[in-house]
Amino acid sequence: MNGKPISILLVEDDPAHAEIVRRNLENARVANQMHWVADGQEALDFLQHGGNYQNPRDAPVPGLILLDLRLPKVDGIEVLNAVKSDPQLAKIPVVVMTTSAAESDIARAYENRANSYVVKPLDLGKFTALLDVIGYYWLVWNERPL
Amino acid sequence: MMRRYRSINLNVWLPVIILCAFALMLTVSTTWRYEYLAARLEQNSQERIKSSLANLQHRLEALLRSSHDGLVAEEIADFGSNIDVNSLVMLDDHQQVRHATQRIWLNKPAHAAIPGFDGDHFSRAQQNRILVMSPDPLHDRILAYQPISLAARPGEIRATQTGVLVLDYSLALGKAQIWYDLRNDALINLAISSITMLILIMALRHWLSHPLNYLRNVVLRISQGDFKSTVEINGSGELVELGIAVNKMQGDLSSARAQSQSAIRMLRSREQELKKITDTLPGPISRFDENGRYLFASAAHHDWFGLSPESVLAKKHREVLGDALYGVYEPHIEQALAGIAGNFEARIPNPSGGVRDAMITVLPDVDTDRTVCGYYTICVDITERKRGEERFRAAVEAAPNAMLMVDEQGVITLVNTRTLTMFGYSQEELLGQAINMLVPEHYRSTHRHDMQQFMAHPTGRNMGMGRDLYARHRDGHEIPVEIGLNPLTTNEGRFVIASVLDISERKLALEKLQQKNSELERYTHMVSHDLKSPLVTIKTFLGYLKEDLAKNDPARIEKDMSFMSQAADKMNQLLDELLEMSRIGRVVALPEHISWRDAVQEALNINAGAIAQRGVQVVIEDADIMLFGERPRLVQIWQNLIDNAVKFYGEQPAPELRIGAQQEGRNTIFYVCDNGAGVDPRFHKKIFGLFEKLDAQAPGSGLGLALVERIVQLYRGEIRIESAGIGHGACFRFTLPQAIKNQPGESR
Repeated sequence: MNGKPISILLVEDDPAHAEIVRRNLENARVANQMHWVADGQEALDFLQHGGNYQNPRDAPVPGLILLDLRLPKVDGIEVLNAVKSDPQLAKIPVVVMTTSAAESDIARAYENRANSYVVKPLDLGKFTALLDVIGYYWLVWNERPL
Repeated sequence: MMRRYRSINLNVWLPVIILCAFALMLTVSTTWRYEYLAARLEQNSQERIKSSLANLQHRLEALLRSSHDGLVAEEIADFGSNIDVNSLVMLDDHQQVRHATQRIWLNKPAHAAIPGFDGDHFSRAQQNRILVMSPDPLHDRILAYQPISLAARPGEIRATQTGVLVLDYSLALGKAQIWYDLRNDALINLAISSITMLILIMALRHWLSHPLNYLRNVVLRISQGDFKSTVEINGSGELVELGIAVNKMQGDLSSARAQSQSAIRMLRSREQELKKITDTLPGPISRFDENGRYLFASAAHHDWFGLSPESVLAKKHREVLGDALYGVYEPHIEQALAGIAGNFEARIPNPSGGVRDAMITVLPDVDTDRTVCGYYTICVDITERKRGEERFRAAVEAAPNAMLMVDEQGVITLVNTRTLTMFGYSQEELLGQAINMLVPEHYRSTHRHDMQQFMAHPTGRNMGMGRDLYARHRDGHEIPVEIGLNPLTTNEGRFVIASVLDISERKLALEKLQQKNSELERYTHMVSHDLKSPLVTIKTFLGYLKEDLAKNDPARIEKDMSFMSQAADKMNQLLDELLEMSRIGRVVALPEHISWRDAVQEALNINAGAIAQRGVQVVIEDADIMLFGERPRLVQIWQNLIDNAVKFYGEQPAPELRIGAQQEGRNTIFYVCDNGAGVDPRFHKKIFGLFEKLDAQAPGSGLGLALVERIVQLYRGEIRIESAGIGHGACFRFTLPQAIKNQPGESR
């Protein structure tokens, strides 16, 4: 913890799911900010300061990326690959959070160096617990290289 | 080697020859003896003449001196009466006859009285007073000139008074006497020797002729086959030796005959055996001399050529075969006559109709001195084998696969038509070539090794053992194949039959299937994801709803329920579209004719509300095109494209939609163009994907364009989007060849 504001980037095309994440993070208070983008292209613009995110103040480097796989325009795996291929961004932990439990998706995610892969649970209690654990683990307990 | 003797009849000719020889000897010796005795007679006569004439001279001179001329004449006549005296004359010195034995010669010149008188001898005798002898062999006489003194007294002797006594003395009588004596002796000798010869003839007949005749008769009897006749031996001598030799010859001949008879019997039985063997053979065997005349023919000739083996003997081969068939034989016969055996196949007409296939072997007939004296032909009926081969060929030809037969060296010996079409070669280019030419270059070494392995353990199996196999086409491209191998052993050696199946289409189908499979997987995967997503929303917000109800927070409750309601709607829409999607490819309606204009109009009608609401200007660029297909599907293409265009006009103040078709070469290209938001070129491919939405907030499930693409593909067409990017509008262009081509009867 270095006193800088901690932000989470949520890449999620379903507004309902984005709402769930937002509500949870409000309660947990592990992060100062949450940025939500609805498609892969917007996520890349946010991370690489392109498109509508030319000003770095609008798009701070996130401490964690929560990434859905099925995304409009640019697919989640492509976003993951772009992040992990960029030396500036590669250190950011990426947790793939999706409804798919397909083996091919899991394998492809890890092949592209995802830090974690979780399936959205079908229960509010479990969903809340999962998001708490992810927040605490990656933002509090996990040590990252400088 | 026998020395040749000239033989004569000994018991006649031997005595005759001896007799002749003796007679000749006798003649010669008698002649010699006669010559000798005649010479002696002449010599003795000269002595006698000398002494007689000397006595006469004395007596006559005494008488002359006493002048008793009468006594002189008497004395001369007396002398002349001597038997050997032809004549005696006394000549005076004038060569006149003074006295003579014949009175008529008196006073005549000497040469008148004495034939052959010689004046010179006279002169010599008179002047030298010597006796001169003159032998006259021609007349078998001697002339003697004796000087005589004619003086009356002894003191009056003068030359002129000397005369000459000329005596003509005959030798003939003496010689005749000698000849007579000698001849008598000779005749007696001859008589004696003739008698001796007669005796000799008798003896020879008894001791030589008879035994020889006997021997001759025995030999004749033996020669006539009487091998029991022998010579009875009695005594000794050359003829007995000859008899012993004849007996030995008889013995040898007899045993030789016995041997030859058993040899002949054996030969006959061998001949019978051989004939039986050759006669039982189904194909004819024949032997010919160097001029092509039959020396032997086996029984099968009757079947094969319609001629009995006996009737072909001494006939010429060409006569029996006929000119055409002999023409096939001829080069091989010539080779055999040059000492080289060979065989060939020929078609021989059957006497009972039809044709026989035969394998014919021609062998040189080699004499003991290693010269070729003719040839043999051996025919084998291979009609059945040929038929078998033809059936085999027909079976191979009828096979749906490429079939090749390859020998142990890897040389192609048989191919079917399918092979030729599969590899692009002609039959002539393949037969006799190495199988390697059909193997891709980088597989050749492996292939050679595999082939050796197969030949070592030949069992029917598939080649490659699960590896992907490829064959090489004439143009060099590789054909994926499946190869079945089967060993085949014939009397021509071991072969491999390879059945080659072109699996290009199967491979292609497999690839397509795999592609479809992965597509299906992706599809189910997306479906599960996209269906699960609203479910997560509903379940989670149910949890929030519970909490918010407990807290009694109406604003939150309202929000929670709104999320849940949207999620339920989304699920409903998804399920509807999925159902629609699953129907593609299945017949939903009978194909029918529909004009393009009607289809577009129908689609516009369905979207009429949205079009009016957004104020879209629709421009139809008219075209007269008839379509044939499932009406709802075809309409759905334009329906979805129009729906898509209306959704994405963005901020466009004057939305416009152009719908039309145009001809490009043989293709009819349909288009639906708008002046809306447009699509970033990066996403041109992605927009046709299942559940793909470029804008997460936009209405719809992302199935609309995917459906359009599927329908277009169903009619074998293609679809693409043209858009310069955001704000430049978009144009969908597509073809429907199957819907245009498939029209029965009149079109367009």
